[in-house]
Amino acid sequence: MLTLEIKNLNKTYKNGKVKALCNFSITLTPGVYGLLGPNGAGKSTLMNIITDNLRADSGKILYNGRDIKKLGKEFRSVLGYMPQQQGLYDDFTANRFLWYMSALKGLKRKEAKEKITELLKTVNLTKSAHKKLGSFSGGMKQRVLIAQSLLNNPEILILDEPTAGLDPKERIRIRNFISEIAENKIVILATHVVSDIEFIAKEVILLKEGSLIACDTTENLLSQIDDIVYEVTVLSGEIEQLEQKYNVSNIFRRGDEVIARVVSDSLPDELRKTKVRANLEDLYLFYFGENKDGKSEKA
Amino acid sequence: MKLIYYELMKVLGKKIFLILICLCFLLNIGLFCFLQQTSENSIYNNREYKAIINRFSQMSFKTAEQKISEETKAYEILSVMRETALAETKEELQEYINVLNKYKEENPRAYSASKRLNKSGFDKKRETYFYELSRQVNYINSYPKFIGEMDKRAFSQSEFSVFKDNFSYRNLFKTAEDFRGLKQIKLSIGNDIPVTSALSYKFGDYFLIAIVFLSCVYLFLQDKESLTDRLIRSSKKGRIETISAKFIALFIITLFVCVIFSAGIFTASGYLYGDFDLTRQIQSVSDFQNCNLNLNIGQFCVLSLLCRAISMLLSASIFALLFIIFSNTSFVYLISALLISSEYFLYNSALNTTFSDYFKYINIFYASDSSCFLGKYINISIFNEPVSVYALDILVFSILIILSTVISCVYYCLKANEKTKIVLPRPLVKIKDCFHFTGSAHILNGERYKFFWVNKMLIFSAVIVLLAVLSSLNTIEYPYLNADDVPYKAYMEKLEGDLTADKEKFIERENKYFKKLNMRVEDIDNDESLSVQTKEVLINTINRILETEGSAFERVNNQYKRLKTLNTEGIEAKFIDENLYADFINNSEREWVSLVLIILLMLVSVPFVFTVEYKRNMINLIQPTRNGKSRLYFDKLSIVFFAVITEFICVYAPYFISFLKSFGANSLRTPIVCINVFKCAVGKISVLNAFLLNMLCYFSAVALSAMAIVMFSIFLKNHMLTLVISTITLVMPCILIFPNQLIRAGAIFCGNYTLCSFTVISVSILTAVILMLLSLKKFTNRILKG
Repeated sequence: MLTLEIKNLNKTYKNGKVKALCNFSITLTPGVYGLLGPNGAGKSTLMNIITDNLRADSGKILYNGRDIKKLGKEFRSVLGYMPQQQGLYDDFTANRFLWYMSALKGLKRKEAKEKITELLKTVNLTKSAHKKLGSFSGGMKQRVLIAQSLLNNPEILILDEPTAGLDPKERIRIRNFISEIAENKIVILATHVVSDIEFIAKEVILLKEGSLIACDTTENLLSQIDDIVYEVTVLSGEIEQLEQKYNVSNIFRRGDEVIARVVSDSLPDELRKTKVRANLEDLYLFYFGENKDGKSEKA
Repeated sequence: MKLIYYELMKVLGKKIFLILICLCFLLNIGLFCFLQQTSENSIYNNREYKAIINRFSQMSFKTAEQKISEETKAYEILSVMRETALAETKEELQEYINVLNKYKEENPRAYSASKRLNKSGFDKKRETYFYELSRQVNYINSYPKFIGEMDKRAFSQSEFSVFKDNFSYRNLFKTAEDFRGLKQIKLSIGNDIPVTSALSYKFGDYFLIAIVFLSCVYLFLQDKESLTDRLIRSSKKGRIETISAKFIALFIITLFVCVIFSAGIFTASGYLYGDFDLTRQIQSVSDFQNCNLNLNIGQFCVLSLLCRAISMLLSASIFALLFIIFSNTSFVYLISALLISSEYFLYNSALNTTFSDYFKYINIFYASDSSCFLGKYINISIFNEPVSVYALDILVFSILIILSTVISCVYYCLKANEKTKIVLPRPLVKIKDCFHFTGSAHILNGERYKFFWVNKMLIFSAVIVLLAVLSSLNTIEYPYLNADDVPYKAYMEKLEGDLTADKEKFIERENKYFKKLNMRVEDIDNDESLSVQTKEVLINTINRILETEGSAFERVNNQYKRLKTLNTEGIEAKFIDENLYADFINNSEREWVSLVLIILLMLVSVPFVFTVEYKRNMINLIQPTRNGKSRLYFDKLSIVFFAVITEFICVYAPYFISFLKSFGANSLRTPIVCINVFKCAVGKISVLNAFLLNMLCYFSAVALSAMAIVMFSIFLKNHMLTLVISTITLVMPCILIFPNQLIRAGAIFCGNYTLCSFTVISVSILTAVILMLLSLKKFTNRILKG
């Protein structure tokens, strides 16, 4: 079976002053893994190490039991990568760019032709295929980047914020597409948009300050906070006070009242509150929100 | 103020910039010291000279003059004393003794001094020092006459009213007027050498231009490339305040480097040759006789620094203008290189036309060269009016600085960030839509597209090929250097090729002819029937023939004798035009100019191949692919070498083709030992083989340069930075070495040229391979910055 084993990965910057990854270990099997964590958690570092753009200080990554450093080209043949905030060749058309990436990925001409046609259709860029990338909007560039990551039908797919800049319709399409293809791939999807992974992720990896906080299915993780997510109704003037004291994930107004979604296990009884079903955003807040009441923040 | 600070930090915060300034500073001083050691001034880098000059500069002029006169007289007598040892006859010896006795009578003190010098041992250096001091004394004494003559000339011309509207006429008066203020100045003896050596040193300008250019890269290009210019321009102070801050920062940096570089040279000069008195009148230094400025040395040095600073400020403002207006970095580099090269060429040109004078004297290199700019009074004709070059240059430079700064500021503030695109008419769009890229699974196709289309190398390649073709249509002129070259060429046209019996007979006949001619001179001289004038005319006529045709035949005869000797050694010796073929194989000027040219062409084409991947971080995307490391590197390298080979052919082939067109291929198989200059060459290497070996040497040097540029591209990851560093490390050394005939871009023609060439080639190729491996390692093992 396809496995990617990450063993005791350590990475520091600035001569050890900044710990980007700290003894990070995990074993991945086919499916979508959502990588969640605040800024500076180590998500990009992890992805750069897997894609050999960065060298770890120590630790190993094993692909089917074999060290990826020793595999070299062989590992890169099965890798698909979509980085975040990636520049492109402005003077290349989307079509030419995908052909170029196919060449880099070692695809034969016939295979490349089929894949490019298919992927342009998937990402809805068939009509713009012969336009220059410099004229593409941010969302269109994102789609080109997704397309290129899938050219070689990778077994390991690393996607960094794949839906950033996409409209809701496109986002849903891409999300569903990733879910479809992930059956026999290991997909690591780093995102801040938790809804991207809520329904498609096999497991969610929570990363904070370089350390693995949790790695479990969405259901299991959410079950931990099932009893502590509430909708609290307060007056407009009280919301600020509420925000200062508790982790508030959502606020919506209804006339003079404000309904706030709060994650806390120590809400006072006098507050008008209703228990609600927890979601991944609440989980994120639970793990990475500010430690206000000294109890609700897990990590 | 804050904005200026931040703009300065953009430049000074770059480690590479600071390292470069230090490196250039040290190289500049190192080069200055090296040139001084190899110049005729090196004899003055001596404690004794410094002590002597110190002693005499502290005396009054009259006292010093007297003592110097005595010393030089003593040396004069001493040299006569030494020459007595060379007397071959009694009469000669008596003549010397008579001269010495006369000296003894007229200059007893000097005579005693010479005897003392004789006893202590002849010191050539000391003699040279006193002759230098004597020269100073004579110069100082002649100065009032020099000034007086200007008035005389002006006065004498004023009698001819016909030419009053003439520039020359007005120039005479202006010159006299401008020098009038110097009539009462007091000149003094002192240490001239540090002043002249520091002020005539010109190479520092190249380093300054490179540093100024790099400053412009950081100030005007960095924001564009990092896309922060959009952010900056959208802020409150993002327009006029920002661009003003940039220019102020640029000018501060320019002035700072001018000051430290100049100070470094003056300090080095003082260290080598001793201190110099800053209070001395500048005209006390004979090199500045033609300076009309009433300044002392200290003031003159400050003024020269200001002139250099103004030249550099002008360069800075022009570079800034180019960076602001144009977005293509290669284009900016090319234009800048062309401008600087043109300035350099015009400054050094020997063209003597009024038109070329304007560009020769209104020139940044000229204004930086204070030994000429301030040291030599020159007026240029502006509508027949004599205008001083200093005033004109300062005026023109100031206007240009202000103009370029203002245009830059206006353009920066008003320009839109969008690129204007040409909108094609509908029919053309439809035609264009028919020609879509159909696809290729070869990396090289993508790389070729990037190189030829994106980087516009297709146009560039077409232009250089066209220029090469046009250049090869030229005919090469015969290299006439001496008066006897014309008859020599005529001889060679008759004799070129195998040594036949007919040719030997011809030479014999010519030999007899010239022998008779020589005897004729004697006969005429002894012929008492001819008048002195007639004799003179006839002898002069014959001498003219002997000096030209006779001299040419002597060369031919020597060549013939050498060929005979070579034949006995088993070499198939042939007559060959030595002037032509020596120049064909071995012209160091052409060698260096070609090398500089091809490096510049490579700088336009090569850096983009690798730096394009770092510009938008595409490297992050392509390296995690199967072929994104070594395979991609070698594919890119093949593009580089395709460009290099094309450029090599375009630079070197036209000369060869023109040569064949102009002079044919008859002597190409002749062994080069038949040419006098190459007589020490070992083996039977032919002219053609020597030329081809040269080409191999040059190609290996070019390949090495190409690999150096590739390495810089990968290590620096920035196009413009690569251009600047490559210019400093590759182009500038070639320009600086070029005047030195001993250092060559290929192998030196001495002894076993074949072995020498293969050594040069092997070393170059080996070094190129090492650079290739280093750059491959860096490219494939690229580590993101933490």
